[in-house]
Amino acid sequence: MKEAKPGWRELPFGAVPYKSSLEYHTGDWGVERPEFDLEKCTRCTLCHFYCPEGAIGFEAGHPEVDLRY
Amino acid sequence: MSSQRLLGLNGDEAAAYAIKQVNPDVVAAYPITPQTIIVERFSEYVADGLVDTEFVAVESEHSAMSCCIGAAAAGARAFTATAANGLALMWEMLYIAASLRLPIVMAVANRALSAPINIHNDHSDSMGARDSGWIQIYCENSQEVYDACIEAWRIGEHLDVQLPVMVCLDGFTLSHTMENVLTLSDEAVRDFIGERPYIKVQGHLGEAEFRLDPEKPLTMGPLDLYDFYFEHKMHQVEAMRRALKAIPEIDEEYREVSGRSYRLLHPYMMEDAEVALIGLGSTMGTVRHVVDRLRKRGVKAGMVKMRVFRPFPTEELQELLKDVEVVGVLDKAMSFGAPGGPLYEELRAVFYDADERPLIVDYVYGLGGRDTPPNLIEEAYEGLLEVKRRGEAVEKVRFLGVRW
Repeated sequence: MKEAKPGWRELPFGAVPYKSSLEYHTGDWGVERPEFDLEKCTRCTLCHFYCPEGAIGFEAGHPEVDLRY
Repeated sequence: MSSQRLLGLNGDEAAAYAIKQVNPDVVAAYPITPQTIIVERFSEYVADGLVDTEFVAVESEHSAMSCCIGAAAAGARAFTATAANGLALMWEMLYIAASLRLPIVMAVANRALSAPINIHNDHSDSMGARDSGWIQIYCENSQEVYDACIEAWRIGEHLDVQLPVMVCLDGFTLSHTMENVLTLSDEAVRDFIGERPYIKVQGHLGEAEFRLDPEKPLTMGPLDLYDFYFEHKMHQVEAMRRALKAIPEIDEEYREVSGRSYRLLHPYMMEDAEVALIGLGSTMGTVRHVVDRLRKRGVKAGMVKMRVFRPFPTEELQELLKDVEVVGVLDKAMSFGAPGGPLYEELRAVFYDADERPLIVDYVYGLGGRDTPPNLIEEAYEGLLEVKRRGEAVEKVRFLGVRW
């Protein structure tokens, strides 16, 4: 992810981050990508709670990964 | 100008009385000589219900500063006071307070650092903290302590500045010596300091005031590595630069209320001075007395008291001292292994590029509270006159008042 970083005059006061962590897409840091076998998935939701990035949602009734994180 | 009341206060009491009138939200402190009277007296104000302050009796100075940081981050006005080893124990938190841009006010009753243990005055404690990012104001007498403890809030909270402020008063010489102090009414102080203003920043849910508020969340001081830390340090560089402008402006407002004005520097008899001493704190009162004595004998002596050491008033000093032949620097702290004391080094650096510059010598004096009577100051002026006669300073760093 190449982007021009802001200079010191543009950065917010008081070392407040210039963007929220929601905007930091860290998905490309991973070396493995999770895939679900929905035939075997029991919808126990454990993966949702285990995911350290909180990137696994259940809005569709089954697990879905937001691969941006 | 509002009417004022004359009170007999020592330096510590003057600080406590000013802070009582400021009525901050939080005071967190741990007692240490010679600062103890400040928080002792303030805790009485709390016990008597004269202030609305939450007084936190913490278990160490590290906790005192941490508590003030937390309070100030949440938007409160926070005050603490310390000295010597207490200030040393706060060390890492000093940098955090300044980097997070929290306008905390702290009184430092300057005292020599151990070892060997010594409770008396020199500037080794606050001089060590000169790179921590705090504004530093040095006081000459109790009146200045009182006034600085009020002005400090406006300086630190100025929207161009937003930095913590250290009000330095010489231990015992000021902290425990009673003097007449003109005090403003509570109302005048309240009107002068007003409410703490906040910078607007972009929080996680849109624009927010720079204070921790669960309704408008924002993050302060997260991990900041080689790609952003440097830029954030530039913010501090800029804030100090702006403080140089803000301090005289606020001082002018204070003059309208109190009739007293301090600015960055106090020159005395400098118009035609050939030799001058420059220094910080209570000793400068003695120096002024000696200047009068020397002037009576026809010696063109002058002096400059530096009230504000951080930010360093470079241009003002260049202007003030460029025509003086010899300047002696009074350093009440030594930087071991360095070319000289801290004020000496910085003053020399300021003049390195100047076409017109004085010869500059250093007088390290008063370490551990060593008495500095007028005859010793006179000895320093004689040394400057000797340098003037020779046209050069052979011995640049001198130790005034030590036994050889």
